[in-house]
Amino acid sequence: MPFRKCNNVIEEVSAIIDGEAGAIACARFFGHLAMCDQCTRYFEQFKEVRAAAAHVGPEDLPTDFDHVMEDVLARIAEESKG
Amino acid sequence: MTRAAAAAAALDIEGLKAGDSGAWREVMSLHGPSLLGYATRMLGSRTTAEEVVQDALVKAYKAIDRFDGRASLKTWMIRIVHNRAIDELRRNKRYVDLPDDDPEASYFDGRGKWAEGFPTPEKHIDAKRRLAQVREAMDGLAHSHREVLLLKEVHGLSTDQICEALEISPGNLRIRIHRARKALRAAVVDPGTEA
Repeated sequence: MPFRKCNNVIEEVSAIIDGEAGAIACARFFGHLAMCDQCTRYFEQFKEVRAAAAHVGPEDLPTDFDHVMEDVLARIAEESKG
Repeated sequence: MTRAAAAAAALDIEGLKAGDSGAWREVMSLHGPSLLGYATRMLGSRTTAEEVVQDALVKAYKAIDRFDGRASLKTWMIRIVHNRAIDELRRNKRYVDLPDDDPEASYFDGRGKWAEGFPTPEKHIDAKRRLAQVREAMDGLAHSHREVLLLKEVHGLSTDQICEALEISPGNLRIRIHRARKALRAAVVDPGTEA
């Protein structure tokens, strides 16, 4: 039976993913996962959603920025005159 | 050094401060699409995002003398766009701050062990459909969650850069990132339980 409480273990997931957890914390975290299928499932879901989030941007980034840029330059030129 | 990083490093800051339109054109070409992408996701409207980015860039132009180089130019501009976007959301009473509810409160019993049925078993979903789910879920998150996820996961800013852009401490950011990721996971995997 896992020694640590599951609700405490999952609070460490971000620190583990971001490489901010120390060696002892990592050992305890993965030691718990080795004995707990539900925390393992949660960890896998967490990583998968996070990995997908990294791909939200590029597809959606606008490519037609030229008109925004021209409007800004026109406004700057206008303000410079004033 | 990546091509983008090399281009950023080569930006002519003195030219920007002197009001050189070529230098401004270059900086907008380099960072503009990213700024517009961030504003669009925060505001949920491409048209409003364009107005916000335009205002922010004009503000950056006027304030460039105060840019001291401690933060990168990109971070400095993100901060201006972010603040202008938050103003816009608040003006229209659309800004959603940190939710009080924990989306995972129902996951555990009183002893801190998983309650029956959690975490929800997942069906296999292909990557394209998962991405669509995540995109939709992200658009539905509180803005205070969305902003940190966009900057960290989507735009790949470092902890220091995000702290600089949002004017928050690293400790605060760590907590917000974790809560935001939990909210995103819940919205994708356990829709209906998210805050």
